[in-house]
Amino acid sequence: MKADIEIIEAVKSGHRAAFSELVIRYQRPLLRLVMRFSKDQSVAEDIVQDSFIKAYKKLHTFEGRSSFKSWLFQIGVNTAKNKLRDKSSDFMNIEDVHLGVAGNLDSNLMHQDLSEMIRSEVDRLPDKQRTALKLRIFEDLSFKEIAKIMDCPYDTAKANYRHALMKLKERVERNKQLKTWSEKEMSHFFEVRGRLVEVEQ
Amino acid sequence: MNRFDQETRDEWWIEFMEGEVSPSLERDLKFLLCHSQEDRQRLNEYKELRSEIEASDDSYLPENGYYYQNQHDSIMAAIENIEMDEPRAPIHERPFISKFKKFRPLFGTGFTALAFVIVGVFALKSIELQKSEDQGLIEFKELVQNEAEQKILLAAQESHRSIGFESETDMLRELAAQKFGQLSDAQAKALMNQLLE
Repeated sequence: MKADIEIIEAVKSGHRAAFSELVIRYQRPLLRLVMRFSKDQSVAEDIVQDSFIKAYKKLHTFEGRSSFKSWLFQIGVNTAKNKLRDKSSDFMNIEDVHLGVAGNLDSNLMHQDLSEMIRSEVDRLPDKQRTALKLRIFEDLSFKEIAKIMDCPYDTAKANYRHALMKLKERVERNKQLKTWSEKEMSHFFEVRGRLVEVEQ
Repeated sequence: MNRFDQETRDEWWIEFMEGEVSPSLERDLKFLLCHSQEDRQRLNEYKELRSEIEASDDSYLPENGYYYQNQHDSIMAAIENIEMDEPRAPIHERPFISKFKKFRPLFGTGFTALAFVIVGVFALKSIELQKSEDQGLIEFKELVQNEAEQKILLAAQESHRSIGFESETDMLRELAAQKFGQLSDAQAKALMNQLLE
């Protein structure tokens, strides 16, 4: 199997079809990565396609200081962020507007399992922390690769990851406590047509 | 333990869990783990959280081979119609730079003059320093010693609290003495300059 750098040299020297090998090698990992930022598969597909096209156009700027995979992932993450930013500025779904969640908190927590709660807390993290966390835990990348993808210093990538984990720990623990409390308290109620009714003792 | 201590410790344990600590800190942390149940628990909580996050991954990938074949074909079709960007010219051939080529001798003179000014400033400074070196060096060393001790003590307080010493003060004294003992006269001087700035 040819090394990435050999294929890249071939493409740079005009052998366009050689790029096909890179697409085959990285389309799955890139799609998986992109789908962590966009749950919508059709949007993710567009992002993957755009990323490969950008990579092809800019291939001359790739100097081999990092791996092609990190470089491509960097393009993918940036393309995803731009695309999602554009999409969110186009319109805002009325259901996405939060109008004070305190009243729903207890009943939401009751129906949420741990994984769901973690997923929603991960989504609430600041952008850079969330990216560092996803790249580290789900993609199993080194901090050097994460730094390259996020275009930031190595220590910053690590700090973002650490802060994400510390924040998550605090929030998940608080939610677990709240859930336990809610379950205990809610055992005195039952639900009738979406309303909570107190059980007479 | 205050909040700052806890945060610092959490940072250690996360780095430890990820295999990102230096060998010496790793040794100290393993020692700490043997003797502190609270820290063992903290580390386990982070490991558990990491596994829970990993388990929460709900991403899926299409499994149909045709899906990837189609995607591959459409990418390849797209790049058939586009051209790769030209490689960037070497810096001296870029338009902005080449425009100023005729001024190159002027740049040379400018740089030389600037170099002279910088060297002059440093020379003057070193003459001043030389003059007062004898009496200044003693005061200077004292100052550096105080500052360095304070910095080392503070840093040590944050990062190596009571690891392997009978008391915190013992550890801090030992660390401060070690660190300062390693400074040469030149390093001490450089450190003083930094501190005075």
